[in-house]
Amino acid sequence: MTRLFLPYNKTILKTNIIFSIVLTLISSLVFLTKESSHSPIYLAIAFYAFWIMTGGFLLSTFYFEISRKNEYYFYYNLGLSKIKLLLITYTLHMIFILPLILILQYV
Amino acid sequence: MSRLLEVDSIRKAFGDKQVLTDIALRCQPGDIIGLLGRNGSGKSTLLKIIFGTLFTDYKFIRINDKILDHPFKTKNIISYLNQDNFLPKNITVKQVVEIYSGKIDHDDFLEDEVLSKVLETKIRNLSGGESRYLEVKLLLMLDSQFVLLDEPFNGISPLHIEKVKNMILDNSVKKGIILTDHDYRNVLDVATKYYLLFDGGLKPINTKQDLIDWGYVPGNK
Repeated sequence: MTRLFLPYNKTILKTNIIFSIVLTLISSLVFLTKESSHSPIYLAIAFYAFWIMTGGFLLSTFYFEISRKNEYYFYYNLGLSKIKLLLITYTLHMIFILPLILILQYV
Repeated sequence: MSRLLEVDSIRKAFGDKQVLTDIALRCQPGDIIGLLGRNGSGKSTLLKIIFGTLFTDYKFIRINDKILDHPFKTKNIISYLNQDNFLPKNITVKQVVEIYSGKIDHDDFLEDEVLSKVLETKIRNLSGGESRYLEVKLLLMLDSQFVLLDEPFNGISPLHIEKVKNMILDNSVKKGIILTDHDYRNVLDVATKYYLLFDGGLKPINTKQDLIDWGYVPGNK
């Protein structure tokens, strides 16, 4: 069952990683100049995990929507709605960032 | 239970432009309904509404005595060939077949004369014709009882068009098929019933002269 979602998940994850790196760099430039109780590495990882699950994910799905919208029919023909596809992909992204959250405990 | 696709009262407007006005259509296994019409007449719009991926305020879709708002969400009921290529570009032909396996005859694909040569090729590297051929074959092989084909012959070479026509004819025994294509000759070759989408309505076509009378083809052809 999971393999049905893999092509979509792979595409979203790839673009999400790129968008999230850019968003993390911008956030770091803005916030790392201010005094913080956390180390810069901790903040960078925290920003990255945050963007992967929020802005990066939204931008990636939006990018897919405008550039590869037709591919949704691949999934529709398997009986999968867009909402179901997004929910499963979001869950797979949560699993992907779990190691990052664990790393945060030790940084 | 009768296997029947019934659509009725389908209306759709884009802004001020009324594209579809009160469309009604019935399709059952054995039927190949050819839908003809000029660019922008609403053929793809109608197919997407029937499939359930395009919203409209007015529609009635009943399949096998069940009223469905989004038929594509019900398993093994309906499949739809999008006008543009829809296969994910980052996977190979073999992976596409594997993802759909369980729903299609795996070996039939691996032994196909056209596809067996490109099994390890990524979809993005296939020619437009190969990609279209794979999509049509994939959807016709699914268990769905009704298939909507939007431009199935688009980009396919003449030799492979014959193969596609045979696939459509073979599958029509157990499926109801609605197809549309700009090459109306191919549609006329395989369809058992014809309609012209004109001015938002469906006009039944009985003879080629009807197409001339409705101004779809020039009189001297």
